[in-house]
Amino acid sequence: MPNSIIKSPKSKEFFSGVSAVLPILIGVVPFGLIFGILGLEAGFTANQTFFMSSIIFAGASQVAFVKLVSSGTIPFITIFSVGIINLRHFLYSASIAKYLAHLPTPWKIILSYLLTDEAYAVSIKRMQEEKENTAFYHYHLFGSGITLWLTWQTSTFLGIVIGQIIPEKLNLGFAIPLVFLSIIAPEIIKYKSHAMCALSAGILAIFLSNLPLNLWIIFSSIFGLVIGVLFDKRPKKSQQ
Amino acid sequence: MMWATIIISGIITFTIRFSAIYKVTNSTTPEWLENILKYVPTSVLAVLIFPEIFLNESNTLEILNNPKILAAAAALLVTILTKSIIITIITGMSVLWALTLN
Repeated sequence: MPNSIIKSPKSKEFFSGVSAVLPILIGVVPFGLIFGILGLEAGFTANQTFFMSSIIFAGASQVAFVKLVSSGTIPFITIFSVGIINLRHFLYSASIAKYLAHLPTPWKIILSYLLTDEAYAVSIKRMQEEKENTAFYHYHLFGSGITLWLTWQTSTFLGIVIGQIIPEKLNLGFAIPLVFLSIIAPEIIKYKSHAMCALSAGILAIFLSNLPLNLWIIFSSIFGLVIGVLFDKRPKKSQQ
Repeated sequence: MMWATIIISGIITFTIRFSAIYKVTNSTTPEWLENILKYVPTSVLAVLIFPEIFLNESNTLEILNNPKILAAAAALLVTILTKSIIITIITGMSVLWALTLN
């Protein structure tokens, strides 16, 4: 690679986004394969299954979508359910917005489209460091997002045409929560408020997991925010 | 009809993701809001992590005889010590495989 490319902060952020997301792909590939297989099994055409991965581009909600439709759920409830499952992305959008505030709308459209759990997780971590290159942090999200996008499309495709090429008993999907754990661990160890936030949100999620329409995701997430703020001991500005 | 359902689901998902990003044009967030938003990664990722570890295939709580708890505990310990995502994955998956594969 020429020196100028390596030195450019844009490409530095882009490639650091790409490499940050690589470990997660261990879990994303089997997930995409499973979705491809599941779509066909549920009676969707290969085209519908494949394009769902680019039109919706949100794994958990795509799985819910095909399961709901195949069990005879009416379209309105299916759409509503997808919306509820993906409502957590509003929290991502709100928390990442200030780092993308300076960008023109086309950039915002592309990055919003690419804002998955995994891309958000690795890129918000970079952005919260607020070190050098802050004006180019969107290239980090672009790098992580586009890498996940390509992987998701490819693995959906492979699931459709080849089927299960990785033994399910390997449980590779478990790599995704492991990476998330690794991402939130430093804050949890450092701050009691973050530890309480994670514990309360996580435990509530377990106990609400049978709520209809997957409401547990957004309910538990908001509960975690409330607990985090309650335990937040940092002095408020007015008291300083 | 199926295509319409897929496309509407996609538009809704995009709109949720786009909403705040589109609206915010100023990079200075009020402090009270910042205080809430800084918990978003911890809270939402915890919500995605816990059920994956503690629930079994039939969506019920499984504490005893659950290899995923030991795997996650080992992974947590290693991630605190090494701060390396790769070593965390290798540890967690190795423990899980050691306990589940014969």
